[in-house]
Amino acid sequence: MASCLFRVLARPQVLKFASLRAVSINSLNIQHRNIHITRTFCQKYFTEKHEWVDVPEGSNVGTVGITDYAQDKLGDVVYVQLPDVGQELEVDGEAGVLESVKAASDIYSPVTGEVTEINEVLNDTPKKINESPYDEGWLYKLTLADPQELEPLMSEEGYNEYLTTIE
Amino acid sequence: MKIINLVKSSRRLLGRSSVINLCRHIASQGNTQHHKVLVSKSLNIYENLALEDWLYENTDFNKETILLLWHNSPCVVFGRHQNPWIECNVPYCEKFGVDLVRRKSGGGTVYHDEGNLNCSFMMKQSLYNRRRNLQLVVDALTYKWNTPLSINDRDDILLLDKYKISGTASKLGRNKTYHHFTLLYNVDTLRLKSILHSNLDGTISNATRSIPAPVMNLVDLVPDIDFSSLVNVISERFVEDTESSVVEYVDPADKSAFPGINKHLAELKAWNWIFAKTPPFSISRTFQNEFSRTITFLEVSLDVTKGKIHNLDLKVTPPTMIDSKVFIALSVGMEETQFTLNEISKKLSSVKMEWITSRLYTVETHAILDWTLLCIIETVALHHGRTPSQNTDNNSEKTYLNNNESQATW
Repeated sequence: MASCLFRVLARPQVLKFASLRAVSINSLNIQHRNIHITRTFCQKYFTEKHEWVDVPEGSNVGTVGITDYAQDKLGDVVYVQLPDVGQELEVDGEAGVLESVKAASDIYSPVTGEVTEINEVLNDTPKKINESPYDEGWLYKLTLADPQELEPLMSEEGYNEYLTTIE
Repeated sequence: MKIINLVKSSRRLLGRSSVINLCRHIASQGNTQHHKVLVSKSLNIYENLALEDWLYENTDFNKETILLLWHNSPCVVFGRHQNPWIECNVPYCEKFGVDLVRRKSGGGTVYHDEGNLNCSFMMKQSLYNRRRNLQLVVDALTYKWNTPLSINDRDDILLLDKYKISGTASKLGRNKTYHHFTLLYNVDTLRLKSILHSNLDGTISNATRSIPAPVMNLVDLVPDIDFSSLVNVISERFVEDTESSVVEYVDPADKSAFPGINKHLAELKAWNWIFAKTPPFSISRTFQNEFSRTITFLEVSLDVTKGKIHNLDLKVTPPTMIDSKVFIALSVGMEETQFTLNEISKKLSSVKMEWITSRLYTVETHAILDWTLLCIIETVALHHGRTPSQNTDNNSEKTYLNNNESQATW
């Protein structure tokens, strides 16, 4: 067992994992500063589960989608089940389902809030999620109940670093 | 002791959270997962899927991986985002007691009976690997019976590289997942083909479509395959090389073993889950008949959303044949009607009563108005005994030129 642990430690990916983990914590600190000082532009916040929420400056409405990494993992999306407008979503609560290559994957909301709009285009063209996950393939918009929930989320830079640790 | 020292020293090097992650990583690499095989004693599809749901909700998949095996009496199981009326012959199933079931995973429609083994691999999400599960079954069968099996890029298991004997579907939650698939060893393939055929024409829908494939039974090649031999062969393969393993026969109706399972059962059996969860769809048909020596066309279109009829629209050509008030009464009367034969018939009867009281239904108009009602019944195609259409084209532009023959079947 001990030698097994040595072997695991010796694998370059594990040490990389450990060191990048530290980087991602640093990037979280940077992101804190972004929230308090530089909220002058549209910013996407990312979760470890590959969702993003975009909250423009001065707005309390967030747009939610899944990341390019997530759409690539899912494969071709063939059906999108979105929440209803007016539905109250909780942070990390189920918000819908994406179906791709015979798999039904639950979508979780990155923040708490009430759904104000859903991306109706996805009913006819669910593939927009694959083609344009950060833009035309957005899922729904919601009014943020608690903007502080954005604080633990990652910036785009932090998320990209996080991605290098999980493969 | 050495491990503790190592963890202590690596903590100094890497920091505490990294060590925790490292230990998790090591745990997931080894065979420390408890492997459990559960074989259901029930032949009821709703009970078996309720058991799967219950296990999904109540198992700590960080500790164990489960393989649930079962077979059940005749039923049609469709994917989470499918339209049962498009995927199979719903009136036929209802008439002959074939259960209709919506599962929570994606994918297409399958017919089950007792000659089909269901395998459900349930585990934490980081271990999710459909290919590995399928390969395990293929290896187990090939080892025992030398069956010529392969897996295609749709995750179907093929016999002789051609005939589908297994269809796959999965559900992925945030931390847990299941991948289940069918294994046809001795199903009634004739019945399978006749049931997995829609009797509904003129539909437009975004629901997930099934991809039909030629099927074959394992017994056609290996006559001694049956439920218990398959269970034994697959279970042995699943639990080998693991430190601890269990094969257990369970009864989903045992409420003390599975407290709260009835909640899952009730959900799966509800009309609101089976039918009302169907993605919105539209039906559009054109009928033709002759009244007072005038060829008359009637276009019927309607939407079905959350299992209820909306926007029933009728157009007659030439327009002078039917008073527009007739159509208004119909559209208003049918709005929000549940998409079942019983509810639709009741509503049509009340619309007819309304026509009579408002003197729209008279000696002169009764023939064409009764035909209008029949056209609506024909459009929704929920009655038993309707001849399944030979045309599988679902183009909305398609016109169905009706004749007296198809009315006669009603």
